Amino acid sequence: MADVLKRNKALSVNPLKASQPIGGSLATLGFNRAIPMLHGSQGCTAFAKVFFVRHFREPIPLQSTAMDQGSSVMGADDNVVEGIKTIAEKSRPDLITILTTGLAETQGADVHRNVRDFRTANPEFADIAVVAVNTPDFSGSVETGYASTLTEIIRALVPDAKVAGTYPGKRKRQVNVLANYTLTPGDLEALRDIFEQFQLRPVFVPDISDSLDGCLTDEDFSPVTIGGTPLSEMTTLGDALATVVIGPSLAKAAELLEEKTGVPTYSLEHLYGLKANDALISALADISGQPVPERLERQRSQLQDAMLDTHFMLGQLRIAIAADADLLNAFVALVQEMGADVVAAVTSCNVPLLANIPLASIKIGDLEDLELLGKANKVQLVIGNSHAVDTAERLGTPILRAGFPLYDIIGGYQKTWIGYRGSRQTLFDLANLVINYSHEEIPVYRSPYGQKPASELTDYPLPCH
Amino acid sequence: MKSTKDIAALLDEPACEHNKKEKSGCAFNDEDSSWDLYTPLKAKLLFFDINQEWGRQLALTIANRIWEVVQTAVPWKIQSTPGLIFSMEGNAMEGMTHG
Repeated sequence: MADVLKRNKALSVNPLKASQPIGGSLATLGFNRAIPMLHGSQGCTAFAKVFFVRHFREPIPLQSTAMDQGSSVMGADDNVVEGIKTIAEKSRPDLITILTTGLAETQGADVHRNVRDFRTANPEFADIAVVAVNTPDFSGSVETGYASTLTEIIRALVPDAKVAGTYPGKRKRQVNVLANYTLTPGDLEALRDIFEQFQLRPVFVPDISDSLDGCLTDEDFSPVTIGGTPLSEMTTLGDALATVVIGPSLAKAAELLEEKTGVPTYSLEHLYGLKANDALISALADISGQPVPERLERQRSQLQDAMLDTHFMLGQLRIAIAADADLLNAFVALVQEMGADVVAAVTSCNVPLLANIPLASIKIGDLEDLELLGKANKVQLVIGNSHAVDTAERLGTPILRAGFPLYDIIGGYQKTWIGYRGSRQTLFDLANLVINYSHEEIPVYRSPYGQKPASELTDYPLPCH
Repeated sequence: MKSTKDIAALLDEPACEHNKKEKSGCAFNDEDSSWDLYTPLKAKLLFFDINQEWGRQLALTIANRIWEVVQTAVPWKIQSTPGLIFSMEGNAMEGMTHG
């Protein structure tokens, strides 16, 4: 439905995009005892690491093959093989992902061959899963990098049902949940709570609520993730009752999982707003065969009330959104449900979902594009990540910080956006921003035809007739 | 009730100094004005003397999509409708697909 406007300039001004290797790293960090290794220069990794540390405010395990000028020209195969070996020896992780960067892809690196070479040369590390993924940062975004990495991890670690002897429903309470990059640790915790109310046991793939939830541990330092989806769970995915997939970006991963396991898939675009959560709750009622708990019905009513309370501020509000496709789609649905108008939408790269988002147009571009569109359309509120704060200031509007990275607020990574409760809180946050920022009210009306003293009519010019 | 033609005839008079239009219609009809009542006055039509901005906002609120959304029936309470929700063969409901 949306007209996707392609990038029309040769550079990014105030970039919106977070790169594919960052997405790939985020997906990896949702597995237990895992570590991503970026195949590129040290700067490629340092940049990603800074993003993560500032967003999650935690030490982040991230390694680099440290390509230099020599290996960039002469080949960096040894860097990859030696890098994997060093990590395997020192940290003995369960999972290592090799994520390429723009530098390695431009060079023509074949990381899949490098992994095979490592396997041949180091059979003693056969128990360590090593997954190579092509994630060049000159294309795609954090969303596509995350999805590609998850797809490759499923391809490598989920056994085919015929080989493993798994069958759907063997574990009568287990539901696989493929969670896209928009779901925060707070979201996943809330989602787990919802699943458990239906007596279901969700297995999140990946599960950053267990690894990046800001939890103090007994260990002073760990070179690999502490918490996350255990790799042993990957072999049980074929025994689940169903798979719930959240986010259109994970369609390919979901398709692959269903192909391998035969477990039926329930696809949800997002979990923002009333209709989306109705779909989730109905799906869970269907999967579990349980009635919807009264607590959830109560939360639904609370969201309805919040919608009525906040529509005074949000109805007809002109909103600009800068986000990757899945998140953009979710926010568009949420604010359109409230009767707000999305007058400017900017995303970082083109994906099939964009064309289906119910907007007149979506610009593939950067935050400068958002600023120009926002100015032209007299935007009243901006939704975007921390990079968009300056844009909102220049536009003279409040901003709802959402997406990745959020480095100028504390606890942004933990905010719950989803479910009836999360949606309700998001509406409150949006309405409060509008109230506190704009003070927009309809001016007091004095009728020119009223029988008022002359002093009260001086604001108005007298009619000429 | 006057016809459109009658109203057009009534308005067919020289322009005033304010609006610089070829024809009249003057009620300080600029962007900031919210009381363009010349036409109903001249044509002797019934009108409400209200804050037109308030009226506009009210009209937009009444037409707001939220009323439709808020009144959406609880889907799991209408599951008895045959083939409506979560058939294993096809789409389950809006917002969800089931393969």
